[in-house]
Amino acid sequence: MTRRWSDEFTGASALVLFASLLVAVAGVAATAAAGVQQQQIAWAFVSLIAIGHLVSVNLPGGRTAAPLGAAGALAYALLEDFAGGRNTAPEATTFGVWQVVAVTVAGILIGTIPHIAFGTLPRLETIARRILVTAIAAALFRPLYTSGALVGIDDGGWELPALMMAIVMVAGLVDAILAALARAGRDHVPFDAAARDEFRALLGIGSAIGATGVLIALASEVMGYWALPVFAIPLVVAQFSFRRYAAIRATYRQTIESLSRVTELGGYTESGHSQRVARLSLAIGAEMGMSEAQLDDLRYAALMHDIGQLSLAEPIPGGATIMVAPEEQRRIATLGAEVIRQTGVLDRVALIVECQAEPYRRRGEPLDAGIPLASRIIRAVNAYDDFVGGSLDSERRMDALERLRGSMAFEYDPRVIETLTRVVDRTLLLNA
Amino acid sequence: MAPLRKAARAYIALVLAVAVAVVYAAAAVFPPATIRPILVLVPIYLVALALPARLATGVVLIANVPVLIAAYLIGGWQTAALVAAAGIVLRRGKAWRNHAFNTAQFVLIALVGGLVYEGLGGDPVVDLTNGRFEPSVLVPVVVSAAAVILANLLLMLPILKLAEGVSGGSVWRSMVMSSAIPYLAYGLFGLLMAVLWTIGSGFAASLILIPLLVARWAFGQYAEQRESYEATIRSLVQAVETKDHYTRGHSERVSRASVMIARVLRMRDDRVDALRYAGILHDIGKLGVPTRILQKDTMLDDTEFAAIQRHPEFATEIVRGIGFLKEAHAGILHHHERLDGLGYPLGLKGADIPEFARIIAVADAFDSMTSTRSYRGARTVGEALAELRRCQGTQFDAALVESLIVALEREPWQATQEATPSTVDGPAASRVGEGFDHDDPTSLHPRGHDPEVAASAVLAEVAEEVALRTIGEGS
Repeated sequence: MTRRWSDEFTGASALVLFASLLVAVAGVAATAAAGVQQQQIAWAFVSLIAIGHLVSVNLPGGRTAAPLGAAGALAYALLEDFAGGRNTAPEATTFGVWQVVAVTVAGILIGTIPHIAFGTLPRLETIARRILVTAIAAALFRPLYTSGALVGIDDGGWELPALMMAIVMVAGLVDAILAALARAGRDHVPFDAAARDEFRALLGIGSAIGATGVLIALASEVMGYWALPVFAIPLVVAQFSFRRYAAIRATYRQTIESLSRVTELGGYTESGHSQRVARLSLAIGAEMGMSEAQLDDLRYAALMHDIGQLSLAEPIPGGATIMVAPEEQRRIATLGAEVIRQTGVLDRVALIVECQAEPYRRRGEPLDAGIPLASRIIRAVNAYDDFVGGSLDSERRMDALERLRGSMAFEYDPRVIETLTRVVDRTLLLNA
Repeated sequence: MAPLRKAARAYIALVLAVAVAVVYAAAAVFPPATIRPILVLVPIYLVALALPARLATGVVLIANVPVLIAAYLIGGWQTAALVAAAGIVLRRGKAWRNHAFNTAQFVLIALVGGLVYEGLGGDPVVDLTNGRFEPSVLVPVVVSAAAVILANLLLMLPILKLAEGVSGGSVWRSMVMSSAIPYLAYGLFGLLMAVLWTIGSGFAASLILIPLLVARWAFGQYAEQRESYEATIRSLVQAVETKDHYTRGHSERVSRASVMIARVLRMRDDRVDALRYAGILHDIGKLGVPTRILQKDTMLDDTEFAAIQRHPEFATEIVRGIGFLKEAHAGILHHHERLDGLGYPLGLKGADIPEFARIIAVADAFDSMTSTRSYRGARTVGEALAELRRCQGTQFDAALVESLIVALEREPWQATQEATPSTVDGPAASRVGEGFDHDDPTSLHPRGHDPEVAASAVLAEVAEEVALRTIGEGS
């Protein structure tokens, strides 16, 4: 899916962007007016946050991971005593919420600007959320700390770390909900499906970011400035391996996309058929509430749904599987599934491809619960694309939908056809 | 695993005996004051141990090392050795012998790390008089972490050599190259753990497991994805090969031979990777050639032959979208060029032909000659190499042919290494016909030898005239 600037300014995303812009401006203005307190510490954290964003990774699916940047910002929000020179006692930090916002904004700006040159700019909404989340953590912790309410708590006990962890968890929850709202608005995903994905991410990398933020803040009390590089080095290393992971994921996707065109070059399918089926299937899958992991499988299955045709000696005229007998369709699906199953790592995808030839239900038989939703989606979209081809003609599209609806009760899943109609209507509106 | 040789068993027994002695000594000198760190560190250690990550190179990266480092920073080698010994309770389905050896190994590397740290001064990481972190410990921490890696490597080396016949050099490369930097980074994690412990918070010290495990997960994911990737490309290429029955397993072997040449040339690892994929994908463009032509058993006419010659372009068309294969694209597109400029598709000459393409051309011809064709048996490796030598300078790059020869001296060729009978038995796969092999330099172009065509630089397959006369069939 290509990103468009207009996507950024719809619904929940717009609200998040607007709110974070307000917070950022207020933070910078208030800090500028009051003057920066404990400047050295502030600059140290600006650098940490900037480095974290500099080495950020764009993950497939539009997520951006800048764990070090996010952790640095949280650490600054949670900073309590800071070890200074050799023979001085740790210094209590005095800055407030607005300075935390200003330092975060400065770090993000410095670390993100180089990404413009490389064309790897993260989604604005991700950055906006990071500012908001840091502001929330700061708003929860700074007043408690500067008011002296925490004085009685033993530094070495479990209470302070536990309190800090609770704060970052609250901030993380807000972040996940905002992210889910934004994705729901952007990709027409049901909110609960988007929230499920975001909470899963929160448990994994989110908890690591939160814990690291807490640990930097705690360690600063004895390590002072040293805490920053000593934490940053292992995390940057981890981030680089994360980047390699992201790169291989992207390559994987590109490769399957490329190899899916093999059937086109062989004259087995019409040009662009697999890509169109994949795009439309993903839109439908997202709208029907499939998780990100399921969508990944759906994408691969859709791209490779015709790979079984390679085993045919002669291409089907026009490559339209809809034109051949059901037994032949089933045989192609089985052959394709065999090929995919041989990879040893794509068993779920193979199952989806295998089941695409099964009708939604047979006359007089109960529904077969074993057919994955993804198969039903691909089955319908494949038929739709066989009717329409790459044509943008709205009449042809409506006609195709009409034909699918005609055979809906048995051949295709009515819910899938319903969603397909909605998605097609939407794109027709866009083209109009 | 194959039964261990005597030497390997003796080695394991020795390591076990030393480790038991170390644990005994640790428990004997053991001051009761360090019982608390042990009680806290052991559960953390076991959690870390329970979740190993496999790196792409087959090396197992376990997040337990930082915990051991923290243990010796907090309580000296004795604490670390005892924490490591506690790992014995976590067998997780491994054979007892392997598990005991692993545990003993961790006890010994904990001892080494602790002793090195002590030898370098061994200051506490936090100055207890003023509650301040001592930056001067950074160097000893990093050095001792390096010693831990080294000890790990040295302890594993004999076992890999004795039990699994892996060469020392390759272990060294894969272990040091792939894991030294993560391990050093983990050393810093160990330091942080010790610092947080010393300021009194066992809870905070255990929190460090979270980023540690997520980092470990990232390493593991990378390895996993990479393997899936390779497996996927392989099987998809096999699917393609069902169309052209001559080439069953061919892509795989060309890839292997190309990599062998690249290793002799000491090519960088990322380029070797790209070359490996280029080898696997080099004939994928045959998909664009109608099956009818690929499997034709009579003479090809002009248009049919031209269709076959378009396969490098088709292939390039297919892989164009795969970003990281940039260099591989040129290798795939030009793998039928010849040094003398008589190849296709562009008729490039000599050094103008990309290195990848020159390598694949050699590997491609070598495999075609050494594999069985329906119209002739496989030639021996010696015969094939002699043929390549004879065509060097005109068709092949002499240096690369030599590299292949060197590589084959190091590691004998196994043509049938992977007997992967395809389960896809469509009509295409089952129809066996006669045909001509476009990759075999000695294969005769069914149209006969037309000087005009050769001059127009489209006939890579037409090898030296002599070859055609001595081996050529059907003419």
